[in-house]
Amino acid sequence: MSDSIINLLFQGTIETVVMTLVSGFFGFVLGLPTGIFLFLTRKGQLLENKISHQIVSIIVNIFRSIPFIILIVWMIPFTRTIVGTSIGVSAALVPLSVGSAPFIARLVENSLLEIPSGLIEAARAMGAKPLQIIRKVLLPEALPSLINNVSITLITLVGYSAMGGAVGAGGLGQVGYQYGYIGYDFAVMNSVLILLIVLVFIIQISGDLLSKKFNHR
Amino acid sequence: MIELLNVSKRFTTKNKTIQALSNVSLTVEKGEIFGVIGTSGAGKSTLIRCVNLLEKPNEGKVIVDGIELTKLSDSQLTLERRKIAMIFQHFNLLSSRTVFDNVAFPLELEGKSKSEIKEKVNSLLELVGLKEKAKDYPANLSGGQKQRVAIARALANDPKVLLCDEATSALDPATTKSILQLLKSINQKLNLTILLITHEMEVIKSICDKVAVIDNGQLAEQGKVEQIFIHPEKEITKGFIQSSLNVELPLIYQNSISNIDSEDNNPLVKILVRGNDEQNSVIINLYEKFKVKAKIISAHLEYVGHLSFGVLLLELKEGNTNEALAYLENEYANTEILGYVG
Repeated sequence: MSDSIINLLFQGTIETVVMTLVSGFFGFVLGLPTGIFLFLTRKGQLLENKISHQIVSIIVNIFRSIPFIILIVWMIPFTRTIVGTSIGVSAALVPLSVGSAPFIARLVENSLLEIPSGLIEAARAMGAKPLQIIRKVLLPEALPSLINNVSITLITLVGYSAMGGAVGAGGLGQVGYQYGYIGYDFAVMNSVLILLIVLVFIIQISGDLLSKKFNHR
Repeated sequence: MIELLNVSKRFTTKNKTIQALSNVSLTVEKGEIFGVIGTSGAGKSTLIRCVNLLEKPNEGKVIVDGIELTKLSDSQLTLERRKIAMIFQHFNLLSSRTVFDNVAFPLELEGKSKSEIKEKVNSLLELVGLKEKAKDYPANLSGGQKQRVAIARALANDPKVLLCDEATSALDPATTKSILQLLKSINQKLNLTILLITHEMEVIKSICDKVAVIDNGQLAEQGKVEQIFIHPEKEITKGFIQSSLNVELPLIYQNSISNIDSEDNNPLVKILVRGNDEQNSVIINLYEKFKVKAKIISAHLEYVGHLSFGVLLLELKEGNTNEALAYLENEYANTEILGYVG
């Protein structure tokens, strides 16, 4: 393997890691509050509100129904207005964040549903305000499960970013697409594969370790 | 201190309405331990949740320390709840926090300073005897220790009242006893008003000053514990009292008992004795009046305050047993002829 190929793989790995982490971050910025909102407005919860819950729930479901590769293409005009281009790593961040947010929202909602309802009741009985309940009860109690969801999300994003590579997002996906699909290069193709597997394993293992560290149940 | 006035609560599901509480009124005086006893589904959980308005009653007033909670806005109510502590059957400790931080939780809600929190939490952990467990997580504690932490947490904001929701129902008898003792000592030390709900007569008997019996969403009767134990009026109350007194027929009698009332057979009777000396001298009375020698087969006597009550299982020997039976049925509540033995 030539130096330039190794350089390309290295560059691709960095790009994939950046896309995964940054879009994961923005995905959570959008998805976490949405997930909390979905949970709180459920029937019998703190801010029960059937109409708001249903509206947000439908929006989340619509975005979850769109296949990612279609979402990227569909969002091109929006992406252009935000980052000024529709090609490259920074352009990929927009659909990746938007695509992962509804997924994250559902994961967060499910994590919060696992919290025994007695804890929320106890916090209400102690006179905790809704924001205090979110900050001091819901999020800390769901933390181990939320960390697991972060790993699931990041692994999904590794996959999504590779898909983005096919339409010019950069990263290992693009390397694999060019050296695999366009002209089949056995060594490069398999290096990309191994790098992606290693990336996913690192995410999964560190997620498991962190989740375990914060789990006192 | 706590006053419920004609409180009613309904739960509506898709196709039916359940009347959980109807027209419940009760008053708990300052410094009192007031127990509400009822079977599961009788409405006692709803009742205690109506006091801090975790459940909002459909009708009626809830007044705690002169403040009519049912009139307050949500945010006013939240602040008022900080003075109404509550402990639960399943403890409801935060698994993500250490023992220390769990007790600190209500103080954090109030925005107390770190040093204030530290001082208060340490003194509370000392009070409940768990100082050395401060850094442990709840998962590593026994049920009794968890409830002690919950009690310390409940006391953190110097509450006016303490609500206990089946606080000992998930604990074994020995631990139940120690938790009840702790509640009693807190009641005496801090003059803290306690309202508890339970399905166990043991709990009422051991720490309560007053008791109310709840059945089907209504208060069947209420009064001082001694009075209710000695003179229960409603069947449901008698049932609770009897269930707390268990006498079983010894095995050898179970094998030889029959329904045949003959000359050679002696009747076996179960009688409920309560309170006064007249009743407690049943054996002497039977002998003096009917020359009947009553043999005690089994007995269970309890003391509430200075009054005693309980169940006696007697075998009536010799003398005029028929008249003795008539006398017992006349003078003692719930006299029951179990059968005859040879």
